[in-house]
Amino acid sequence: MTNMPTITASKVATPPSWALLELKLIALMEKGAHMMSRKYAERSGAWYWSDDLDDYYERSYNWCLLYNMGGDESLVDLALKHWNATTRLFDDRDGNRINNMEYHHGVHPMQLKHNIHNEYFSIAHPGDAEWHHMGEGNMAFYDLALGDPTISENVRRSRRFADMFLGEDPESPIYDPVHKIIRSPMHGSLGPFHDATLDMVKSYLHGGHASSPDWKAKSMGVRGSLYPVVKDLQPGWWDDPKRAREIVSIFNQVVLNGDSAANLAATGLVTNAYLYTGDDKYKQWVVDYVEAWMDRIEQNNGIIPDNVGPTGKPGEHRDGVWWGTLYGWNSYVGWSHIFHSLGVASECAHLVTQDASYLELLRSQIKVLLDNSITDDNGQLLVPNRATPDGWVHAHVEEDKWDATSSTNLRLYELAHLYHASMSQEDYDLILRVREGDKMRDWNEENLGPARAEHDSEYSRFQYYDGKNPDWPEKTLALQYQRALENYHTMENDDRTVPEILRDNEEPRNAVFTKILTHVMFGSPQYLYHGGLLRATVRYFDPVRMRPGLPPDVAVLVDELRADGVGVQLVNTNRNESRSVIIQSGAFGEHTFTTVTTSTGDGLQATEVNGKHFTVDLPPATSIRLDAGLDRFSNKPSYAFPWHGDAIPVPFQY
Amino acid sequence: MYARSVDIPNGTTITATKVTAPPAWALMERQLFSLMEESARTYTSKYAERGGATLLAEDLDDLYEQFYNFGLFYALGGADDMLDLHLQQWNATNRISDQSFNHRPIHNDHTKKFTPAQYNEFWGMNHPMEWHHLGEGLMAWYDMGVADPTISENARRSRRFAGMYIGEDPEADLWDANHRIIRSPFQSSQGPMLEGDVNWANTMLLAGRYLGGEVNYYGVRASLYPIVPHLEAHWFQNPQRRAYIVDLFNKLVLQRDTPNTLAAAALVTDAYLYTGDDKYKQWVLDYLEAWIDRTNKNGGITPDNVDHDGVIGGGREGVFWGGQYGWNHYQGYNIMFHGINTAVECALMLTGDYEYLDLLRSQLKVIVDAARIEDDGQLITPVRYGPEGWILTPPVGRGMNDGIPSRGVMQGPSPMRAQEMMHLYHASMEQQDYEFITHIRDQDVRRDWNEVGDRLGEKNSGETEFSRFQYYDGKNPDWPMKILTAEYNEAITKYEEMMEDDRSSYDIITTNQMPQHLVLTKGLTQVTMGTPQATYNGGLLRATVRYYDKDRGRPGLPPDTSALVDELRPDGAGIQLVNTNHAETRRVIVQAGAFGEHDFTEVSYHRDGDDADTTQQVHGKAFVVELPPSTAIRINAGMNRYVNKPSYAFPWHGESVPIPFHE
Repeated sequence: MTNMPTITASKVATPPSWALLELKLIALMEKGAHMMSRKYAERSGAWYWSDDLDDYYERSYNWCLLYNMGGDESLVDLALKHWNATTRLFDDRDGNRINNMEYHHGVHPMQLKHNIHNEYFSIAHPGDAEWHHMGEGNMAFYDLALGDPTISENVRRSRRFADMFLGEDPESPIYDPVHKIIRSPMHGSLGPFHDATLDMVKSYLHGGHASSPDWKAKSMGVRGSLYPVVKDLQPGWWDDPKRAREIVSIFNQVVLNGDSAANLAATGLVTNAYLYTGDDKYKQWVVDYVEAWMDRIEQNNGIIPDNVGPTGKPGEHRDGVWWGTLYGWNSYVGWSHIFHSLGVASECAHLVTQDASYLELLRSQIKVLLDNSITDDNGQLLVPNRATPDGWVHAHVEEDKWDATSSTNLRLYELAHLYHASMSQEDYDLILRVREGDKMRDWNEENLGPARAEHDSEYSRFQYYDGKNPDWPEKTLALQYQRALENYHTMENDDRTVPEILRDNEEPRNAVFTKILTHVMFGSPQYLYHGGLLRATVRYFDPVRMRPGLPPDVAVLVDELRADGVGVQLVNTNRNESRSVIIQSGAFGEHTFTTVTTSTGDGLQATEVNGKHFTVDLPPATSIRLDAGLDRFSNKPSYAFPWHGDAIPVPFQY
Repeated sequence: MYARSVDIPNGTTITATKVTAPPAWALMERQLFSLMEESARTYTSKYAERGGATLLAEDLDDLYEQFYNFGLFYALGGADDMLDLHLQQWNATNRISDQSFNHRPIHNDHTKKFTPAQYNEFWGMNHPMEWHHLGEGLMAWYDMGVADPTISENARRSRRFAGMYIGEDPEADLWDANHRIIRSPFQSSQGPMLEGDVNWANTMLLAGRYLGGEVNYYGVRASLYPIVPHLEAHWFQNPQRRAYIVDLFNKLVLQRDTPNTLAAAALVTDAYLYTGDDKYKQWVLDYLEAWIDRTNKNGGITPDNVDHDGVIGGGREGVFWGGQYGWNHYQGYNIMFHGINTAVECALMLTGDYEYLDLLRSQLKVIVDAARIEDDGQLITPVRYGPEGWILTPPVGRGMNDGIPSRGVMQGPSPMRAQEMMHLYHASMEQQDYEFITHIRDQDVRRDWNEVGDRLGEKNSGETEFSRFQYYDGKNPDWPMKILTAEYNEAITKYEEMMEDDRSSYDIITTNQMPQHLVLTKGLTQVTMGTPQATYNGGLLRATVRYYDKDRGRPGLPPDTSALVDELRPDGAGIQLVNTNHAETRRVIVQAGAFGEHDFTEVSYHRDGDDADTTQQVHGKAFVVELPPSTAIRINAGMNRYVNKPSYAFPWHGESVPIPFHE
C-alpha cells in the first residue's frame, strides 16, 4: 500500500437515491443472513433440510461477496461456518447426521447422501458430480476467498481440489494429461465415474428419477443420448434383462467413457488455486485444457463437440457424432449447460494469460448459434436450441415435451460476459444484432430473473451503459430491494417449529442477493453462476478497517464502461465523518489504472496512478465522480488484498 | 435455534419487589462478563485464523484447552457469540487434527511438530491418550452439551465416543466386558495401546525426553516394581535388557486397567445426558462397581492396576501400585483421584444413590489415616506410595542417576488438597463429610482458609475451595467480592497482555507462544451456581442451581442480571438475584442442579412492605423469577437433591432433548 495515489472529494451534495437504496439493501440482507442462519440451521451450521450437496452450499454461496460490498464482517464467519458444517455432514467417513426423518421434497423422500471425500464431491452420488452441480456447489468455496484469502486450510483445499484435475491425486485419476481429457462427465475426489446403474441410465436417457415409484419415461428431462450407437431407443428396453445390461454397458462406454465440454467449468476450480497460490502449473493446466477444446472445435468444423473419447477425438464412440453427451447439445437443456462452461473457461483462460484470443472459444460458439438462426414471421430472431439427428431444432416445441428454455432470442448471458471481457466493437455489434432481432422483449424493462444468475437483468444493464436507460440504477436497485424485503418478511413471519421445518423440508431461499449490487457497484455481469469466478471492473477495500468492501455509509455506482476506462461515482452519506476507499482495478487486480480524471471547480484534474489501486478520501457529505483510465487484463491476477503485496500471507505455508 | 421467549411447564413465577442499589458483587459480576466477552473475541481473531484454526502447534488436548470454557461462559450468561466461537474453535480443531487430510502443514520456521492426532473425531492410534489428558481435552466437548444440547452432530458424536468405551465400536475395542476392564491406560478410537517402543517406555518410566538424555523424576508416570525394583538410567543400551524391559512395560503398564480411566465415566454419562439411553448409565455403574469390588478385595485401598484378567497387581506379585498415573507416579493421588472423583459424581447423579460416594470417601480416609502431624501441628498427608509404604519423607533431590543427570523431584507429602473433599461434600452435603473437612481445617495451621489471593488461575487443584467453604460456613462473609475481584484481576491482566501483543501471525507461529485462558469461569461458577468448579481433568459441570433467560430462550443469566448463591444446605439453597438494569425487566428461569437432577420443593422470599415472608410451592425442576427494573430478591429455595433423571435438556424442552436429526 505504499505510495498509493490519493484523490480527495470536495463536492458536498445531497446523496442520490441509488446511494441510499444501495446502503439500505446491504443492511437488510446482512440482517437477513443472520436471521436465516439462526432460524434455519443448527447452531454449528447444519441447515435444517435435506437435499443434494450442492444445494446445501448454495444456501450461503455469496455471503462473503456481500461482505465485499460493505456487509458486516460476521458474514465471513457465517459463510465459513456453513461451508464447514456442510462439508462435515456429507463426509463419507462418518456422517454426523442421521437420516431418520421422512423428508418430503415434492414427492420424493430425500435422503442425505454422504458424498464428500477429501472435502470434495465424491462419486458416491454421481448425479452431483458433474459440472452443472459442482459448478453450483463450488460457488460457495470460491466465495470464501473473497472474504479472506489468507486461511491456510482453504489454500490447501484449493490446491487439493485443483490437483485432482491436474492428475496429481492418486485417489482421483480423473485427468489424462496425454490426451488432455477429463475421463468422464461425472467425476470427483474418488476418480472418474464409468459405472452407471440401470436406474441412472433410465433417468438420463428418459428423464426424471427412475428410482421414484411413479416414474415414467418422457422426453422432457432427457439428459443424454446413445445416438448413433442406438438410434431410436424406445422406452421399455429395461424390461428385457439382457437388453437392459446391453444398454447400460453402451451408456457407460458411449456417455461415461470420455470427456464432455461441460467439464470446461473445471477451469474455474483450477484458476481458483492459481489465484490463491500463483503457481504456474495451474495456469498451464487451464491453458492446456482450453486449447485442447479449441483444437477439437477446429477438428469439428467450428462447432464444439459435446463429447470426445478416451483419445480426445470428437464423437470417438459415436461414429464421429459430436453431440449426445450428458447435458450436451442434444439434451433437454440444449446448449445451455455447455455454454456456461464455455463462458467460465474463456474468462479463466483470459484472466490467467491476459490473452483475449481465448475468448474466441466462447465467441465462436455464439456465432455458431447466430449463423444457424432463423427469423420468424414477427421478425424475431431465433437461435436453435438443440442438435438432433435431423439437424438443429428451432421451432417452439410442445411445453411438456422439451424444456422451454430455448429457441427464443439468444439470451444475453454468455454474450454479456463476452462483451464485458473483451469490450470489443465486434462483441458489441453481436449484441446489437441480437437486440435488433428481438421483437419480444423491451430491453429497458427491469427484470431480475431467478435469484442466482441467468440473463434477465443484463438487458436493462446493457441499455444503461449504451446510453439508452438512464434511470436504471434506481430502478434495478428498487426491484432488488423489493425482492430481498419479501424474502426477509417470509422468514420473519415463519413461526414454524424446528420439527415442522424439518417435516416440510422447505426453507426460504438464500436471503442474500448480490446480482444487482455486482452490476451497480462492480460494473460487471454477475458471475456465471455455474462455476464462474467473480467478474469486476472495479472492487473496493476499506483502508481504515483493513478489510474488503466499502466503508460504512459509502455508496458507489459504476456509470460508464469503456475499453480503456470506467466511470465511478462515490458518495459518503455520513455528514459527520470522513471515509477512505481503496479502489482496485478488476476483481483480482488484473487491470491497471492509468490516469484518473476528476472534475473540480477549476476544471479537470488528472492523477497518474499506473497501478492496481488508488485511494479516495471522502470528507463528510461529499461525492465524487472519477473517470479512471484502464489498461485491462495487464496484470497477473491474485486473491491478494491491496495491503498483501505480491503474495497472500498465508500463515501456514507449504 | 432462533431466539424466542420460552415457557416452562407448570412454572411458578416469583416477582421481585425490592428496588435497591445493586450490591458490589453484582456489578463486578457483570463487569467480568463484559470484559471476558471482549477477551474471547479478540483472542480468537488474534490467535486463530478466520474459520477457527489456532496458530498454536501443541498436543490435541492443549488445542481444545485454548477455548475450552467459552461454551460454559455462554451458559453462565456470556454473549450469544461465545457459543458460536466455541463451536467454531472446536470444529476447526478437529479439522486441523484429522489424520486423513492434514490442514496444517509444518511451517518453515516452526520448531514444534504438529501431529494430526484424530480419527473419528477422537484421539487416534497415532496419538493414544490417557485420562489425565483426555480429561483436559474433553472439557471443551462437555461444555457444548451444557451450552446447546440440540445440535444433532454433537448428539451423534456423544454416542460415537461413548460407543468406543462401552464396546460398541469394533475399531476401538477398548472394553472387555467379561473382566470389566478398559484394556490399556492409553486409549484411542482405533483401539487400546497394548505395546510401546523403547522411547515410550523410557518416557513413562524415567520421564526421559529422549534416550540417553536428561531424566526428570518430575514426570515419572509408572513403575515396574517389584519385578524391577529400581530401573537404571541406561537400561536401553543392552539389547537384551532393552527388549526385556520394553516387554515388561507392555505387560505391567500398558496391558492393564487403571483407575485413572474411571474418568471415562463422564464421557459415557455425557451420552446419557444427551440421549437418556440406559445402556450408558449401566456401563458407568458396571465399571465403577468393578473398581469398588477391586478396592474391597484390596483391603480398602483402590489398586492402581489390574491385569487383563482383572487381577490386582497381576504380574507384579500382587503389588497394587505402580500403574500409569497411579499411587506411585510423580503426582501420586493428585492425578489418580480425578478419575475416582469424576466417576462417583456421575454415578450419584445417574442413580441418586449416595453410596457410590463411599469409594472417594474411603480413599480420602486412607490418605488422612496415613498422615502425620508436624511439630507446628500441621497435618501432612502422603501423596505417593512406594516400596516402603506411604511416602512421608521429603522427595529425593536432584542428582545423578546412573551417570545421567536428573532434574526435578517427585511430589512430596503435603497439606491435604481441597479438591476431592470439597467435591465430596458438595455431592453429599453430609455431616460426616463436613466434619472431615473441619478436621483437616483444625490441623491446617499453615494455610489461611479465608484467603483468596490476588489472581485466580483457571485450571487448578481446588485451592480456591478453602475460601468458598469458609463463606458457606459463615466465616468469610466477603468471599463473593474477593473471588470475583481476583478473577477480574486475572482476566484484566491477561487481556492487557494480549492487547499489547503486536506480533504478526508469522511471529506468533514461530514462537508458538500465546496467552492462555483469557476467559475464566471458576469464580463465576462458584458464585452463581453454588458449586465447586468441575474437576478440571474430565469432570462434568456441577451446580446447585443453574439459570436460563426466559425472554431469549437460552441458557445463562439475562443481560444485566447477577446471581449469588449465599447459602447451601442439604435441603435447600439461598439465592440472590439482582437486575442492574434500571429500565428493563428481566426474567430468569432457575433450575435445580446442573442437569435438573434436583427438585425444588417450595420457595420463600420477602415481598416489599409485607411483615412475613411469602412461600410458594414449586415441586419441580424449575421456576421463574421476574425482575422488574432495579430490583433484587433473595430466595430461600427448598430442595430435594438427586431425585430426577438428569439430562442436558433445557427446562422448556420437556423430558428429552429435542435433537432435530435423532436416531
